[in-house]
Amino acid sequence: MIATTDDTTARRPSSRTKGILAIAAGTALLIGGTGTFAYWSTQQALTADDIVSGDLDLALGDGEWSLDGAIGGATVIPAANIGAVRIVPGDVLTLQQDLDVTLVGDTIEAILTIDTTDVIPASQAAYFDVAFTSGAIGTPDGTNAFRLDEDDAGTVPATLTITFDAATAARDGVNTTLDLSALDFTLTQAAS
Amino acid sequence: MRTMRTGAVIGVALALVAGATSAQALWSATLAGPAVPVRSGDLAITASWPNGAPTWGPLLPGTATADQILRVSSTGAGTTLRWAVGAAATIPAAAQPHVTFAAWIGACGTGTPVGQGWPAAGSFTAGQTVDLCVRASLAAGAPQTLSGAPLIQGVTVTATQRSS
Repeated sequence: MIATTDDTTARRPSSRTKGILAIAAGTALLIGGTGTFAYWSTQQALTADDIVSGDLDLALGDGEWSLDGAIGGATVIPAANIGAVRIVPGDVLTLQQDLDVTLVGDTIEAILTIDTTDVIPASQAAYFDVAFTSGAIGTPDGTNAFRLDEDDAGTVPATLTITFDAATAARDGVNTTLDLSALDFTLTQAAS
Repeated sequence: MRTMRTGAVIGVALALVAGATSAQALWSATLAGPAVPVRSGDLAITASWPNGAPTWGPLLPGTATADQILRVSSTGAGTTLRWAVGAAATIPAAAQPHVTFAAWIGACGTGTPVGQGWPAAGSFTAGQTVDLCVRASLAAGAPQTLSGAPLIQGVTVTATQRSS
């Protein structure tokens, strides 16, 4: 007779076995969790117009020159001849310059300014004066500055006057060149 | 706690600076004026004796020099420039009560006296030339002390811009 050993005696699981069981359980939970995203879903496109940004721009339009001398009335100077004009004390040279202003935006407002700083040579500043007005367009906002809103966009009639002081004595200020290309028209969106 | 408070203050300051910087980034467009040079003119003249420099002989009391033509030309420029001409002689003080110098537009004596500026309302334009007739005379009652003395030491021509 052969003696047998009963291997069915209950044994406590080892730590290794416990670890394996925990990993298996976690994996099962993860798989189950992934499956929870597979519920119903739908989406609806919003029907609305595109949103477009506005615009702000500035361009030179037509210009007309006139010269009002110390003697005689104002005379229109054809643009082609302006380079031949020689101003003398007492003269007022006027440029009616249209500015094409683009202002697009529901809330947009802008400040139009003109900087004449570099037009007159510093050594001759006592004899010449450059002034700027924008007619009835916009609201004055300081020296040579005007506040415009969207309703003011379009052609803004700017007037530039160059005055040669009639009190200029001797031969002061002769043969002086004023550089109008040094004029800066600037249109800046208003911050407040 | 102090470190946290300091950090919060710095953070707020940085946020304010960032906000202020972004507020400057508004739209702007700049345009240069028309590329047209505007020039001033000039009032310059030249004067000459078209018949040669005068060789006036000694003046005796009650006599006058020969008539001389003095040509004045504007060499300046000015679109609206109008100018008047004048002529004067430099006469020593001692002779001034007795010496007369005069210039006329046209003939000496019968033309239009120029004086210190003619016409009163300027009619000469830039580039225009005008001839003056000039003459000097010594009064009949001139004193003996003027004998051999210089009576005219120079002639000055003046161009003056007119405003009316």
